[in-house]
Amino acid sequence: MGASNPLLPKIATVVDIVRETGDVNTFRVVFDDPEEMAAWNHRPGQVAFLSVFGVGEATFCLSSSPTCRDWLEFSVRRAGKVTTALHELEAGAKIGVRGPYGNSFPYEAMRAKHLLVIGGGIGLAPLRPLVNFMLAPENRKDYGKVEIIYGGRTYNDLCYKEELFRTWPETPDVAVWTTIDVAEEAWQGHVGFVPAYVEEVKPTPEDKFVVICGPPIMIKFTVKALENLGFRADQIYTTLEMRMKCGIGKCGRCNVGARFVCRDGPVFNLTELYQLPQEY
Amino acid sequence: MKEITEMLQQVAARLFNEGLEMFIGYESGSVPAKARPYFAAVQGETAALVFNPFCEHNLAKYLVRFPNAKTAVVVKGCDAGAVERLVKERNLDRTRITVIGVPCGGMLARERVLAELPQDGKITAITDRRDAFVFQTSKGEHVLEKKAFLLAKCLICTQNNPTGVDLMLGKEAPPVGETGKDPYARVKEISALDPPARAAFWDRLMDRCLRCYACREVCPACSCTECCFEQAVPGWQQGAIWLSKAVTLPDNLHYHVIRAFHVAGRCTGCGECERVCPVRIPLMLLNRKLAGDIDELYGPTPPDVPSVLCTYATGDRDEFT
Amino acid sequence: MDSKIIKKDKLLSLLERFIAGYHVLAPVREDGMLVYRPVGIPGDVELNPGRSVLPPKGRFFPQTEILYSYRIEGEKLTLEEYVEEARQVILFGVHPCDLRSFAVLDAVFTEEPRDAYFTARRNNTIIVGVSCSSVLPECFCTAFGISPVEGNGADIHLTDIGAGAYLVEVLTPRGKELLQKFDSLFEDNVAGAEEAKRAKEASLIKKISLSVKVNDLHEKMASIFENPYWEKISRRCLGCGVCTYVCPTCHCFDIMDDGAGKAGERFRCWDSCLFREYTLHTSGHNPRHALAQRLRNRFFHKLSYNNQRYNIEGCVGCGRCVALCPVNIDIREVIGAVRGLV
Repeated sequence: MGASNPLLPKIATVVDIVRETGDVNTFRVVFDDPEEMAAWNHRPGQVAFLSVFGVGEATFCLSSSPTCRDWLEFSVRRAGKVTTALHELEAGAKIGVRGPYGNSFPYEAMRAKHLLVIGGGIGLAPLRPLVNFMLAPENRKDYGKVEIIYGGRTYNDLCYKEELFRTWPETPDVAVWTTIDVAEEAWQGHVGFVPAYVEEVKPTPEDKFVVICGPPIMIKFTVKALENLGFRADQIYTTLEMRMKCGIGKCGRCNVGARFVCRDGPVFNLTELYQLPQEY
Repeated sequence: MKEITEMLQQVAARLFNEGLEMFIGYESGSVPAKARPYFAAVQGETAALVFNPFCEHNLAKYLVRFPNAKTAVVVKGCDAGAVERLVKERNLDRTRITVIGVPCGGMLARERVLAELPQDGKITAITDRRDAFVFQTSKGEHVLEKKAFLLAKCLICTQNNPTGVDLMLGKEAPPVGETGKDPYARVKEISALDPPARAAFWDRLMDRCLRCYACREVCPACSCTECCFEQAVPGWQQGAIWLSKAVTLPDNLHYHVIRAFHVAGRCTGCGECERVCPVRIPLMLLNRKLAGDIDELYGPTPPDVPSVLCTYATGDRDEFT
Repeated sequence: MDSKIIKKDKLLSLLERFIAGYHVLAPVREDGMLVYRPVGIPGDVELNPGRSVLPPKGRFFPQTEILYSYRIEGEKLTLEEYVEEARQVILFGVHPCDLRSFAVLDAVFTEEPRDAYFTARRNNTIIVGVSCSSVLPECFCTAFGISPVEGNGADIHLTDIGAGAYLVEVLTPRGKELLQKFDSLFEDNVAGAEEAKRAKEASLIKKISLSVKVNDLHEKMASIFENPYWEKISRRCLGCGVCTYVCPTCHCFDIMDDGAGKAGERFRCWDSCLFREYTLHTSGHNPRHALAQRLRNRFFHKLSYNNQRYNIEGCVGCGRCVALCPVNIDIREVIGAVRGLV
């Protein structure tokens, strides 16, 4: 079967582990076979499966940009069996990777448009590849302004701090607003929930796409805020999370109505979501 | 069976007048010679209630689904113990429940009945004549001797009239089971096999288990809100995996033996596990084996004790130290 | 393609030769149940089987199947795939409803990217269909346009036409190739065989409940997604996996690891959308937390989602779920109720 067996992971090595927050690590992963590394192509928004052998396999969004050809990155929050096992790994560990799966953010349709990114906590992970794809020198001219509104419970819960506080704000035509839920002594920035901050920032809907990811409650109220600001449902994209086992539309588990999140998602715009049963 | 059916409908209607919120009984099934659990939530739904010798289901466990409602449930002799057990183990609030007892002349084995009745004959009435059920069909009358047509469990049953009920309908049913029949006969037969033969007996049966968990879901003694085999919450019980999801003989054996131990001393012998098994594993053999052992080891369980394996005294013999 | 006649005694000889050269799976009786098992003696095989407890889908999609094993030696991690045995398998005695189920499973498993395990087994299996000889009270294949005597999906199809003779229809090149090896066992097709088959079809169809109609059903389903009916019917549902495990078209599975430390296996096994932990997230959130939602999902999958996704009915009317549901949840009644509600 070999290469034609989509359920068989490719062996990869964890080359670096970055501690993002108390319970989120970003794993930098390189395929052992350089040809696999060269052949890997993902689009922003797609997911992949990571295997810790003997423990199991789980789905994660890619958090590295497709323009990065040397490694893949996955930001993983310690929550269940597989994520806990991943967190126990050290650099040099062997894992399995298969993918990429699913659709992606409509980066083609987004050409020449502005982008508003709204994230909460680890919800920035699936949005980061899109931001970095658009900001990559070879793509930058194709896209308009990038606005990022991002929040976490505390300062320590904010991911990708280097990009958040240095790289992105220093890039031309990029604006970053960061907030935390509750005031902290050392924090000079904004305090408050993301939906309220969106209402304060008052982004405009013209020629713009919005991508949102974060806790369901944050998404719910942010969508309300955006609708009040004049955004249409088909401008707003988010990602759905369902349990998945195969990633290739066979195991049946991730269905929402007739859609499989692994094939037809994980990215949906609100118009599409409103037509699906509320079973996600 | 017409009288009991009518009585049930009347009682249900009356109870709804008195503030009942859910009546759990039986209705006719979608295929001939079948009944099924039925839930009347308003008075207008009581006309579908029936009772006949196909009402084999034990309805007690459904009570757990309505913890806050005033509920009534229909029980046969072999079901009543399950209500009592669920109450004893504090899974049910007895004050909210009206237990309605029906006399039972035994339940019929559907396959055998269908083979006996004319294929295109519609059953119009069933009468219990003590030793036989008389079926009126559109193709004439058929007398089915109980000895030949009852479920095996009914042939050894002596609890034809439920106890501990709030309301008993109809006339007391005379015993249908043959008296003096040893309920442990088959258990003794299997126990007498030498170990390799006994292993072969169980291996063959357990090998075909599908792990559909129908036996667990239907069992009134399997009252845990989350089963130790479910592993629903990651990290639950320190992430221990008690059972592989792989359906293999060792895992199947493991599942059934553990389940039998978990319900040992609590199994009320309703036989639902065996009835629902799609691949006909005689699960009651296991349960009966343990019931017999408990009886032998501890004697009859006193009424104030929930179950012998759920109680202890400081003076108990401790063989583990 | 062509058709032949085989006499019953010669059919047993044919089975004997199949057994000599192939791995043969066929329906046999076990404790009064019909089950597909590897057979070694032609006489064990039920030639006019009726409904098996489990559908024959397990040949292509076993309940538990090792995908690959892993081994860690020092810095090295190696994976070893499961490889399908080279010997061809003959799956004998498949009824028309189950033959259709293979097309339903094909739509899922051979859609790109193909499932390597299913595809390998499928390619390695010769299917001998057999027309029904009786109709059980739960049968309703005709609702899905299936005839109880047609062999679509089989390589070779047998129909008992009475007087100890079977009509043998050769339906694929693979079937032709197989039968050529045993040419001497067959007789030329006789006049009247086709008529006998049609007469059989007519008498069988007459016995099937015709009240179930499914045309355009999947379009109507959408309007009754939100309906008290689902909560009502789920009241008696036990939440067990019987209906899904005996269903010839259910294809849900889980993937898990068995083993610890340095070596072990990854396997997949059937799973059921009726189980409460099926969609449970690690966070504790469960998109289908209520049994009513899970039961509704199953019926929508069978009667609507499958049509939408693959343009093929997700139910084949085999009646297994109806016959084996411990609380008599009957998909035919659900279909009737849906029609009544829209």
